Amino acid sequence: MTALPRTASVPRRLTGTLRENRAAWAFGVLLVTWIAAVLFAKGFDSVSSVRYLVQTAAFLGIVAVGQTLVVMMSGIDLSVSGVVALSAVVCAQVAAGSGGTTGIVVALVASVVVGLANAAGVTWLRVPPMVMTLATGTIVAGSLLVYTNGSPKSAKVSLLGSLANDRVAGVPLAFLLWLGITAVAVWLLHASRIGRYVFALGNGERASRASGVPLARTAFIAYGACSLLAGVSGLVLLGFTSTSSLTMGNPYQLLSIAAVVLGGTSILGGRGHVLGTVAGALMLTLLTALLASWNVSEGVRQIVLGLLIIGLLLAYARERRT
Amino acid sequence: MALLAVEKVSKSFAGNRVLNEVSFDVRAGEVLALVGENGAGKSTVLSLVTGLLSPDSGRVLYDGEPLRSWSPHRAREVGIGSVHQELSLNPHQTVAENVFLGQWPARRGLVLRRDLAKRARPLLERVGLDVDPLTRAGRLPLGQQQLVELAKALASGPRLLILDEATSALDDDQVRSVFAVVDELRAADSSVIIVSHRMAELFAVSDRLTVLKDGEVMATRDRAETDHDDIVRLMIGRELSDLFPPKAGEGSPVGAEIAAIPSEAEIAEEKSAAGVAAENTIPVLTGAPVLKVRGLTVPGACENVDLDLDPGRIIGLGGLQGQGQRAVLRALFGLVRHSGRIELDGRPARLASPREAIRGRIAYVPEDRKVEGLHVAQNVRANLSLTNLGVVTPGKRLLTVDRGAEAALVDDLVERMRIRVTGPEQEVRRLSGGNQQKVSLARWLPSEPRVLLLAEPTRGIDVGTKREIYHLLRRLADGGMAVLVTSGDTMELVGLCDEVAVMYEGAVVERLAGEDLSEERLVRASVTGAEAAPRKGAGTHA
Amino acid sequence: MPDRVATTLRGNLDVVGLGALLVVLLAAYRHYDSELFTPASITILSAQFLPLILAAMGQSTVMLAGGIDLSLGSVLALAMAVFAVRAEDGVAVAAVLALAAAASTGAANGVLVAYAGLPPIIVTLAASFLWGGVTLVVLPKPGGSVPAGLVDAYNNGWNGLALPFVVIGLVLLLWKTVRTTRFGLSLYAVGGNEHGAYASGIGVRKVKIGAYALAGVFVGLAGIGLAVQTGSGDATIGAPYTLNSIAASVLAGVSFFGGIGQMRATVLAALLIGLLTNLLLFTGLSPFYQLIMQGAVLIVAIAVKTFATRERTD
Repeated sequence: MTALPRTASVPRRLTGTLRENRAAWAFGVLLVTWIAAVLFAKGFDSVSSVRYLVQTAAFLGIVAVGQTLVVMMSGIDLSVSGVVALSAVVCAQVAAGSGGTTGIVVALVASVVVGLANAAGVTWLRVPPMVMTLATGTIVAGSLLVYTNGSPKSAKVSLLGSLANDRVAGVPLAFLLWLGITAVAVWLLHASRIGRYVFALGNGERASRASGVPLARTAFIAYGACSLLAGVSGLVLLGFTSTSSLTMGNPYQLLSIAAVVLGGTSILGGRGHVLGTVAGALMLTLLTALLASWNVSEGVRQIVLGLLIIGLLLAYARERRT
Repeated sequence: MALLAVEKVSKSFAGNRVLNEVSFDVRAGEVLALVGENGAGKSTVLSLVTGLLSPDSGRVLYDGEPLRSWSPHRAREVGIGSVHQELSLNPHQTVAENVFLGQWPARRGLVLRRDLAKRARPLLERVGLDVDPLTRAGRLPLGQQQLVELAKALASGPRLLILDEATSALDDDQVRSVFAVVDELRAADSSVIIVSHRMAELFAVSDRLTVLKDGEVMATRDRAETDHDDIVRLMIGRELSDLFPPKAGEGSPVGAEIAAIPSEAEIAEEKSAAGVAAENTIPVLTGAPVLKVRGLTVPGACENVDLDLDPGRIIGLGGLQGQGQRAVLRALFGLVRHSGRIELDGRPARLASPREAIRGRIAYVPEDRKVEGLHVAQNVRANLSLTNLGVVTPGKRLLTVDRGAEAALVDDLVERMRIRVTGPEQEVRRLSGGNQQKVSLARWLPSEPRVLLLAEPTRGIDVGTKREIYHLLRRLADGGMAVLVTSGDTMELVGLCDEVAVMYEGAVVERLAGEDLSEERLVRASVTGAEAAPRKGAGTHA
Repeated sequence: MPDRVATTLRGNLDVVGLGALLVVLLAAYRHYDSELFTPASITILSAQFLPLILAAMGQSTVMLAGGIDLSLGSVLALAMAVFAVRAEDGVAVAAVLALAAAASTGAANGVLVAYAGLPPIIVTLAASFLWGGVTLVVLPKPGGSVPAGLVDAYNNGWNGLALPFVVIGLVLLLWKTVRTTRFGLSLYAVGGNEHGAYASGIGVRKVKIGAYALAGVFVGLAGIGLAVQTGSGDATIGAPYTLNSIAASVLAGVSFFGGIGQMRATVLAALLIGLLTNLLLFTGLSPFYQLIMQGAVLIVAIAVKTFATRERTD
């Protein structure tokens, strides 16, 4: 009567996992792209090129890891672009007066506040996540204009400079930071109690409520963490460029979502893996670099990028739920 | 000659065979009733006819022609109209727009509102519906919406009308209008296929009855040559003994200390113990009620409901469909706003959210497993551990889920509840309805709830699993749990419960227990309320 | 009779509410600009607001069918670029080309949504890169030129006629007509209950593709309008329109889930956003506060609306 779990044969389980696990797909595609880049394009076979790639991918990657948390619970965070700029601009501004450490702390606190506002709007005011985060992003952008009077400062914060540019045993520190953040996110999403709540919410809010999932707490953690990571990314960017600008976060709004989805996470939530996002961010950075190495116009590059993204989505990101 | 012929049609979903070489036909000017238990394959076979699904093998002939490249659009074109229990109306559009949904009459490409309303009126009259065609469909009560659906099916002048549980939300008068339409169609040499869980209706209106069981046709009988018992025997297929466990105080609490579905041997043992129970009566657990409810009111759904839920007893909420039973359960689980006094273990309790109810060790198994019960896209493991994260993540582990403890918990529940799965990673939506229901119940067991609320616990479940669930519920009660069940199935309430509170229009109108608790008394009480009030209830069509 | 009035009021809550707000804003506006209701002023303002109004109408069309378009800004820029590049060879031909480009990109979005099994939000997000790239190929640097006569007539009135105002009116009329066709009704039916629509024999995929294509036409017109207003094309100017069009639609009460909403309300909401922006300039407040104001208005409006509708449905 009782059906005991049948153990599938190892090869069958492997193919099954591959078919089911879209994050694994993302790494496969990344590998193929990388090999193709090494074979057919110049300058992708050196250690320094790999090093540069993972370093620049870290900026997008850190934001995208945060975005994964939110997307997994059926949310979306369009305010990350604003927060990236917020953190860099605030840090540069404060650091000029009261020193680097204070700047970093103030910037991160400001970032988290935005995330908490997002969560409050989504859970208590019941504003749809897309609208809420869009609105807070707009408010952040406006506040920065007011705060800087339109001309943000440059700043050399030594701690951030070394975080963005230094290496440990040849590995860029920024990349290590990204990996560390990813490790924490993997724990949070895939091993902790909070992660279970996030996945449950992503698979159905009503069933989650009736199962006793703490909706507000989960939302505050996810949106708060997402904003915090966008803030961290802004700081690393500030260290990398030593200047801050009001628009420096703009590319990350759409690219972070693209990285999440290309990493195999369902945009509808409840399905996927943080590690896939790492592959997604690396893939997008690699593709951008690859296209940049071609001698074609910016427009053609964008067209190819768009087509590639659509093609990849069609290959493995189609939704079974409709 | 047959208007519609279904020939040796088979259909599987994810390796699950739902239809196995099903054959039947419908003649012109005939009303065919399709009967069978939930999950027998009625809806699937009808979906093949209406073009929502296509068969794996076999064929469907309409007017002597096999159906090819079939779709709802084509089906409607050739004159197949259908009304389903699940509404296909757009709640945001007007009644008139809905009546002609997808085939709005247009003049030079333009659909005129006033024209639409004018054309809709006779169709609405035909189904006995007196509403303004310009009201939004979503504003009508459910029964009227179903009649709009019927008007919509009639709009294309169907030669074959399919009524799939189309009367489930209707009251007597409305059912009568539907049957008038059916008679009209028969007289005009059109055909009707009707599916309903109300046997009396089927006998009243059909010419032949085809019985489905587990995806196979058991028999097709002329109405004159069969009777109620014959059909039920065909539907169930076998006499099932011991469907219900002994009641509180009658049986011996064999194995009551473990909350598990009993094996065949244990059921037999309980039965023999019940035989001697007459002399050797076991004292019913008495004491203060776990949950005392006074004056429970949910605006628009139920009013001033009093209930005492005692440990060891199974209480039923009966009555006609939709008399507020569901609201009582949802209120007690903190899912809807309510007023009234609720005492948990003698202390006033505020049940404002499911979390608070769960903290008070109240568990809820909803009727709609897929929306409020389970995360169907997630696997069995995730579903079973979600409500037990406190058990599998002890505080000292820094909120990390202990995979080993989780696996042990899941294996234990799967075994105790006899859940048929290929493994803990199987997605819940791939399970049969009975196994889904077992998961829905099992997820609460580790937290040892004191009050268990169940809505329609056996809807859409095969009879074998039904029996398992009945016996499990009795074991849980014997172990000291207070159980509250709502059900539209009279036999279930009478067989399972120790006491049934009958509801009518949001109020408890009668309480039946012991000798008084019989199907006849229960039905009478359900309808007495109906007779006392001007509005007639559903479910009693002669 | 009062019952009737109440029902009508309730059915048009969004229009009435937005209308009332608009009156207040106009009164305030008039306080700062006494020439608000002169033809010259109306012409200038309608030229300024036209792109957002038409873009919002495009977004609402897609949303009514249960979708969303994040590539709207790119498509708007594409139409603007095509028009600006070809305008010197003949305005009419350029306009047709620009509209054709916008409508076909819209239809392509629709095909991906309808057939690929990809959620609209992600399809149109990826498509925004694609159409953005096409725009850059058409017009790598800001430039192109629109005949000065047309620019002048459009912005300063043509024989006393406010052309942009007329265009908005005509587009609304077009929508009104579409709304009364079978396609228009199908659009609402698909958005309101997709499965029901399919089971009722409506070609759901065709309707979706049609909705995106129609949105493309509206957005294309918005792009042309922007080109005429500014006299040239700019491939990067479209981005803010994506989010502002969503904001206007949501403010107008168009549901994210489809099937609910009125185009009149969308026009009013877009107008409201435009007026508010201008008004802030008049109050002497730094223009930097504009964005803050927009975001706050959006949150407050949606929250109020959510609570109002919840009271009604409970």
